[in-house]
Amino acid sequence: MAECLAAYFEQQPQVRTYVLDDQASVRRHVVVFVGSDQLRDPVHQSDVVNPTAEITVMQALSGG
Amino acid sequence: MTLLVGTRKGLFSIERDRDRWQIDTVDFLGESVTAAVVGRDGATYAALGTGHFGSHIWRREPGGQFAEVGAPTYPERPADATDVSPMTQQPWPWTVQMLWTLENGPAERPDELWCGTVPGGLFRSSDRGGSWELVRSLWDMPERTQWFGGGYDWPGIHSISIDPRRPDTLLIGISCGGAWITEDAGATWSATRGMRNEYMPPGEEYTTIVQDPHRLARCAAAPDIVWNQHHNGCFRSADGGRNWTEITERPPSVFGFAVAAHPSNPQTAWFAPAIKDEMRVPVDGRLVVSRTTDGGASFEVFGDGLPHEHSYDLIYRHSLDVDSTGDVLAMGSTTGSLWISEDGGEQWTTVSNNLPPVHFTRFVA
Repeated sequence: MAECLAAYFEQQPQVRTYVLDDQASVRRHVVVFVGSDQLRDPVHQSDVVNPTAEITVMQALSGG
Repeated sequence: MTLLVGTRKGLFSIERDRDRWQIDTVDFLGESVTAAVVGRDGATYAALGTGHFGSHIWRREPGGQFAEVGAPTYPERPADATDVSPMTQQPWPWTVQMLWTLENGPAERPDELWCGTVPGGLFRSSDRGGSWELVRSLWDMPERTQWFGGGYDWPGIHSISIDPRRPDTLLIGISCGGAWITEDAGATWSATRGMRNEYMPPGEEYTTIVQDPHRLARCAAAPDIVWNQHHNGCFRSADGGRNWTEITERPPSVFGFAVAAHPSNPQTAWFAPAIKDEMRVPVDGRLVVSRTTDGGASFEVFGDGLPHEHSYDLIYRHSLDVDSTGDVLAMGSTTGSLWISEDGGEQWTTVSNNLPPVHFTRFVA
């Protein structure tokens, strides 16, 4: 997952700090899904992602 | 003259149109705008705390549109870092939680900006906000790990004041971490002395690094004079903040968050007193402003035009500002009211009672 996100941020660098915090963890109020499953490791994004998986990044139903 | 009002849900520009002040424009509607400054370059810088997506800084050139620039970012927390909160024993977050104040650098360095953050990092930009660097000399002080949060879970730098005579002399205020001064542009720091607290155990009343100055305000024309609204009272310094003298009598109470220093008269300052600690509301439900014109020896209390009863408005630390003449003041509350005085705080008129919670008021040219 970290590689997937990095690839996206390479194309859209301004998005990075909106999704990841200063320590490169997924922000507390941002949620990442792989298909319909929530990311298990928001700190290091070590989840293994299938090459055809669809990744969704959205605001968590929290905070704000 | 424009008044910028930062709120929980947007940045409001207030203009005087003939005989009354009114809202002119709203930027960033829906976003929390936690700080703003007009730079020496004429650009407006706004700090946003977006609810889900972190803290960001936007810049607007004169006559232009806001565009995002760089923002303070903490370096990677070392794997062997041992900094933990003295209160909770939780590891310090090396992540911006709030951009709490933005200030200009000295006149000699017009591209310089400073930013104070929660959890306690001071950042400097030398390129008009394009990039920011954590002031490591302050962050790496062992004393920093003893600071603790007050209203927020982690401490924060809310006041940054440059001595206009000495571009490398900065005074900063931290809730709760005392006030610190550097005379070498941030290379080394000294704790300032004389503040007193009542929220620590006996023997710790004067410990410098646990003090909770809520807001520091310097007299522009007499920079040795600095006013300090502290959690436990009111203090004044006559040596640029190095030493503080307590002002023990101030009606209707010595608690509060905000202070505004007269730009040219070192004897004059304004405060917005309230009750502490179990509840924080105006004394007797009556919102007032207390003004001294004799260096804190005595105070006058003004409430004309402010709510006289059932007022639950709290004036937070950045929400009382005075313009460059010393005559016009603006005050915003946590319940979304905004008032302006044009006679040095004696009489007030309502601009709005329906704003989002006000984070700051700031007059800009």
